[in-house]
Amino acid sequence: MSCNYSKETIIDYFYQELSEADKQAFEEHLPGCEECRALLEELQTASHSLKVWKAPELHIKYVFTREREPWYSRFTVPVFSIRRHPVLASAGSIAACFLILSLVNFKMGYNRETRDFIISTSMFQKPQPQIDYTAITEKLESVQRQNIELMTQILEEYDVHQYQQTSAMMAELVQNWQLQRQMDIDAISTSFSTLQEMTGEELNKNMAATVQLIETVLLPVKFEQVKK
Amino acid sequence: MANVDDVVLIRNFLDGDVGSFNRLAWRWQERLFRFAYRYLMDEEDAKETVQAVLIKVYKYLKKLKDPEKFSSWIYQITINQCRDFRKSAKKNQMHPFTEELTAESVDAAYQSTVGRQLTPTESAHRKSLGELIQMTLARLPEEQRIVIIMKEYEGFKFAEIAELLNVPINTVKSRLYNGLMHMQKLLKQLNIDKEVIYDEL
Repeated sequence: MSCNYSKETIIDYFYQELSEADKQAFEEHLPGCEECRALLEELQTASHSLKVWKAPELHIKYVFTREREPWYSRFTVPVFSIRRHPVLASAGSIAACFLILSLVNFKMGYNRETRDFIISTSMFQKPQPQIDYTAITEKLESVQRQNIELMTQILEEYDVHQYQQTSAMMAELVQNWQLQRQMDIDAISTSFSTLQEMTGEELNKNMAATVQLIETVLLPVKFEQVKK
Repeated sequence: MANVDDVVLIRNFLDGDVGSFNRLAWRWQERLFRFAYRYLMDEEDAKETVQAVLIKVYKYLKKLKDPEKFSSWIYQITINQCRDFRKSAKKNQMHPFTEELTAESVDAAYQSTVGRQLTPTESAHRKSLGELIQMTLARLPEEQRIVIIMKEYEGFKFAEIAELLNVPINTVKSRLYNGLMHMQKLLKQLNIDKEVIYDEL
């Protein structure tokens, strides 16, 4: 392009997007520039040609309808709609189910050994086995009787055993006592004989000593007293 | 660019009124259809595209932060949808103008049917002029064609086109310029001149 105007300016001018000042300047330039005029002419032809091509009419109307309600929406509780509060609504319905089941036949338990939590529900109660109470009482009584018999037996056995043990000990004790008495008697008899032997001499000695004492000490004192 | 009515309709729809969405769709469907038709150059493809666009709008309208930007948003969706459609069509070799249409080949076909040489005017009119223009436009590169469609038929400002296509504004202008000049050359080759066009208009 020999003139200073770029194709961007020409296109801006062509689509009337030039600023007022730029537009004026360009319009002043235009009469003297054949090239720019030719280009505008070509743009004009192309632009006009495009107007010839018409788009067909759209003979339909797109219609959107509300999404069909999902099946569970019928079961919503007035307070909670499942779509708006899914967690609350499902929790509520579960709670409701539990309540209903507990009314019918609901069992819950905990096995301590296996640490299992057991929940069982059934619509019909299981038939309970009939308990024979007379048989149980009879059995209980027989066991009680047996126990009493056993206890008396034990006590008797114990008595016999104790008696046997005590009598044996008593016999031994009697024996020991007899032995002890025998030994005492022996000891006494020997001591008596030794005492007998001793006493003759001792008495003599003592008698002599006493006489001497009386003669030397006591008698003079008595005589003096008599004398006085 | 955003229309007050559009904003009201969008607000009503987001408040749960489907009827408002339908009114919004009817306001836009012709515009979008014309755009899609000019880009894809096939009526059924364009209908399909508009439907897909409206479904996307229905689905994602609540994610549009600013209803004032609805206009450029919906065009953005339409452009992407058209491009996606073209890509898949190319893959399937379905599109009518993947076959090479030239003035010569069309003329030759016509001549063999009529049995004589065509005069230039006849050559231009053997198909309707509109179809020839369409053919010519179809032979431009995509980047030029889309700018021409947005400017000539949709009347966007250059700045808006630049924003929608995410390219610099001067690129838009040069693509438009080159596209129109290219167009002009092809028309000359097809013996379509100013007079023929003004006659038709």
